[in-house]
Amino acid sequence: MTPTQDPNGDASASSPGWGRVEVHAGPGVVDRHGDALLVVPSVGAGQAERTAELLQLHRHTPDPTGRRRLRHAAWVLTEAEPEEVPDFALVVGTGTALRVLAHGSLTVTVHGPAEQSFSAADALTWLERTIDAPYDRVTVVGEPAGPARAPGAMPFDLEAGTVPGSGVTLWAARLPQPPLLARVPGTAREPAPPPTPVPTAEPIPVPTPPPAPPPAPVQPAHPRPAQPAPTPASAVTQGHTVLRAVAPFRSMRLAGRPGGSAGSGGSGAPPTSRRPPLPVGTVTPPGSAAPPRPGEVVMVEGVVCRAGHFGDPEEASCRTCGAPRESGAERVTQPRPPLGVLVTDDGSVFTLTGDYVLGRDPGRAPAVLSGAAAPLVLRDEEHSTSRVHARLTLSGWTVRVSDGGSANGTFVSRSGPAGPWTPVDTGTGTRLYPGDRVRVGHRQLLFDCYHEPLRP
Amino acid sequence: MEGAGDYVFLREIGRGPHGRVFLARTPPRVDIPDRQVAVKVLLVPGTDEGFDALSAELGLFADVGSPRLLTLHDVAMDGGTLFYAMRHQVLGSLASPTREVPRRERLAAVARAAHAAHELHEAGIVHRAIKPSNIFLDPAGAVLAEPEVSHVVSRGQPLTGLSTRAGGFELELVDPALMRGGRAGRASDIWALGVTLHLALTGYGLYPALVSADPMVAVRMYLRSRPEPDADLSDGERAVVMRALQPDPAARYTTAEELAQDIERVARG
Repeated sequence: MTPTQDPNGDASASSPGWGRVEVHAGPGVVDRHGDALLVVPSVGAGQAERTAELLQLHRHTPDPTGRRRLRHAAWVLTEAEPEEVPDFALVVGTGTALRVLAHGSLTVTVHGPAEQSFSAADALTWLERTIDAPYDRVTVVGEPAGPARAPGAMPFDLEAGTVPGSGVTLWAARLPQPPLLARVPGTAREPAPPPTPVPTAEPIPVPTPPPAPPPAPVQPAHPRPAQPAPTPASAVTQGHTVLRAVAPFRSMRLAGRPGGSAGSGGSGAPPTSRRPPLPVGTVTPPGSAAPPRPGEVVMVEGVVCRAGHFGDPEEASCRTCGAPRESGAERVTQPRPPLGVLVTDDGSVFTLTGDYVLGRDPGRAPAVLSGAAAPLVLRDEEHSTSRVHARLTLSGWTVRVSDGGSANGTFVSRSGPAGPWTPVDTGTGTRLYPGDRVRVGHRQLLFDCYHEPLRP
Repeated sequence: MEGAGDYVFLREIGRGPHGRVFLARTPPRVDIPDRQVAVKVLLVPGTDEGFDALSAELGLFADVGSPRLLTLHDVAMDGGTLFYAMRHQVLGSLASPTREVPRRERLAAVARAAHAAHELHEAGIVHRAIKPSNIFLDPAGAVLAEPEVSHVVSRGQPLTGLSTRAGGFELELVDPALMRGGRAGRASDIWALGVTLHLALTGYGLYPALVSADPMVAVRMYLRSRPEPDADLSDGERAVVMRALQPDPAARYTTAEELAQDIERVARG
């Protein structure tokens, strides 16, 4: 029975059917090696020795059916005095089935397509079961069952090793697994041969103080991302304990095959509904009105140029096509088209269909919250822009910029990036013309309109 | 980045303005024959609403079920990170193929992408991001990648506007009509297909004057220029490109299917 321990304790290769193993808080001990779980909800006085023996069960390798380990557990139960053995459950994965041997006040519950639950409390010796139906998760808890974890505590996944605990929830691998937040290595003690007596070589068959965690008073209420409880002197090695914190995870499987049907499942979203085909042909030709924001159409008075573009009557020529304004042209009232574009210094383009609030966190501005203005985020590493820095206001055909009480001020240049920058006040502000640049902190914006080159 | 969810990343294979793409090992949860998949991790932070919107949009795309569309496997959110897994196309894209691609194959690839775009339009989806790096080569025929989804996720968050990186060809892939307030639709995807065809055939864009370090100046020029096709195009190819790039959307091909058929006609010679 030479122990062939895996010093890394990496269980992933040997437990293909197992997903996360979530440890419940408690004063006992939970041990995992590969495809075997030992759950001891609490270790009473005088039970440390037998608990240590049970913790050595994983040394029976190879043991693909679990037979050797279960039989050794049964041997411990028959050989020892009843009060020397704590309540425990041994769960061994064999292929896709689980073999369970339980003794004492423990309940094993199988959640999934075939729900079942069994308790070892009534058995005088022990209870042995095989779980071979597919399951979503299996819980093993002592009675009375405490909460799985203290409120606010992180769930942890035990990959290998021995930790304080009083129960487990074993998740099936085929379900979406909560991903890991962190990987915390436990104490990697040197693999040592079976316990040697401390300090002399007396052939006393009593093993040295067991590595099981000390009784309740010293224990924390829930597993910490740390070592198994500290033990004195030389102890039977635990190998490498690996605990990982798990985080909420959502997923949806998509149809992968050509011609496949709608995908759903995982923590699924509702099935996607079909949409009608897109309209064919143009809905909004350039230069004409498009609903700027849902529900907001501004009607203004203007003139229609020779080419059919609706524009500002005060201008000398049509902004879109350049055709000169005819004097005495009839004024009509129509929805206002976009007044131009805003181009930021990082290349983002915004269409000027309504007011904007500029800043590094413009979503807080009352105008944005009320829906009167859209947020335009401008930020940089030095926080040179204030949260609410400036406001662009559209009124009729004019565009104005006003400062919003910013720390670094707002400036306008009419003549390019080098040109004199004129400060903008916080009141009515400055009117903007196409080509003007606005500076907020270290960021810049260009206001431009689009011209169609004159058609030949 | 080591991984996301139950995906273990092997190496980064792409990076764009909206996220990074990694080659990853297929987890047991995703039951497909491929041992590796490509996983795109979005930069936009994820929320429950964002996840719902993203999975609805990508679900719609996957439901079209066309062999001309990239196969998507899975959408997921891990903490605040959104990511989705798709088939890893080993032959690369039209922008960065793993081997030299003959002209006829490039024409065929863009034609297939146009057919795919039409299928999306018929399903009510606008792609918004058709470009050579989104057309993947495949022995069974090119596939069009998933559409632009960042805006779907950040619906409730401040606008980022159209992102145009001056210097790259990103700017001219955006239909000028969109900058003037027009709405994205068949016509803007057809514009992008025209620019994509030109890029795939010549390696150049249609606005040679747009070489400017200042994105603002580039946009100003873009809004005032007309496309100039490269000389290295046959008459047929040039005609197709120019019809897709008409300033007035009403003068372009009415459907992407028409454009696809025209490309195939030109390819036949």
